[in-house]
Amino acid sequence: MNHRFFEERLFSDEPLPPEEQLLLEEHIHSCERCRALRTAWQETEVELKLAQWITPRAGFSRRWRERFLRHTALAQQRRALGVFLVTSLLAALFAFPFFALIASPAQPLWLRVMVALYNLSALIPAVEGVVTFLSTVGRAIAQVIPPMVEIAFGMAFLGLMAIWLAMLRKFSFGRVRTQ
Amino acid sequence: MKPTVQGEDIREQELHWVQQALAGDTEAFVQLIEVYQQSVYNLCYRMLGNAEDAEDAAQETFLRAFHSLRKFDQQRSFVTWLLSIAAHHCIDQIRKRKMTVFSLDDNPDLEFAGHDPLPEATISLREDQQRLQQLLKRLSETDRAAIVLYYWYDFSYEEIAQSLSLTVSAVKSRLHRARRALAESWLEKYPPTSREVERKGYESPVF
Repeated sequence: MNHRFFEERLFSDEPLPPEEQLLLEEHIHSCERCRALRTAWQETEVELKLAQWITPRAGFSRRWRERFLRHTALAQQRRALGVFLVTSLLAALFAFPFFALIASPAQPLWLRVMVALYNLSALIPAVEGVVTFLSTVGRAIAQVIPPMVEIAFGMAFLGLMAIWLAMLRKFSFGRVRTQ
Repeated sequence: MKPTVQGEDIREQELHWVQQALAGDTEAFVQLIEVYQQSVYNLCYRMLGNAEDAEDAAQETFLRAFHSLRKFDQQRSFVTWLLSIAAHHCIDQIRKRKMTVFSLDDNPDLEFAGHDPLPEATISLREDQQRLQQLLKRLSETDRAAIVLYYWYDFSYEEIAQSLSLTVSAVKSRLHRARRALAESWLEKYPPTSREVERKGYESPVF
């Protein structure tokens, strides 16, 4: 049996057959490297077995409670934001085809949007006050969007707000059970 | 002395706490934290090598355990499951941060279980821990986890395999390789000649 065979046996924690154990002892007696390795491992093993346990600082569970509450609040906010974004996206996806269906084919959407933007850009330098500006914006929107669409948008917006507020209340302001 | 983590009474009690925690009672889970915080923290410390990272990893372990409590098989040991989460988290952290530098000098608040308040004893303990961490840092993260679970927690090969998602033969092979690496590191750090010199330094020249 070669040196490698014995060297491998030095680190096995399974008992060797008596004849192999005898051969190993003979080899260790004659091989300086194996002797040194065995001594080194025995000393390391003692070090591992006698090693102290390390304890966390006092108040570990209190710090965990704080972390848990922070984590829960953050997760709820993320969920609420996710719900808001998804519902907004869905509302937009549903609203735009509906808007396109009821819009007059004589007035393409892009043209009406351009006109509204032009009105707005013309208005801004000459704005006399916030009220005037807002009323002009309102008029510009009213020119572009038919009343039915305005109502539909209003309803969709109110529905969206209701869902969002309900989700926010449920996920962000709901009490976290601690007992 | 290493704390024991099992026993019939505590097993029943921990199952009761687990069921309460599953029903949403965080205070029941806090009881589990009180029992197992040292086991989890010690594993994290041995894996990561410093108090700050160990605290963070131990806290995260309990948080993950709480959130995935439904996945816990109640036929299994809770502490084995918990330490498995801790070991995987620490392995991920080491891989993520490529942690190679271990220093106990940055940890003045290091506390040892049942430590002696005498400064000399504390210094000696710190030196022992430092030497040990220096050895452990030579091992790969999975080998380190296997060694820590085997020598500190008295885990069987099967338990280590279960905890680290390895086969039993892979655990044996990793432990064998780790022992060899540790012995070689020890030999490198304390060669036989230096040990001879050290011994002769304080031994009486008469003998």
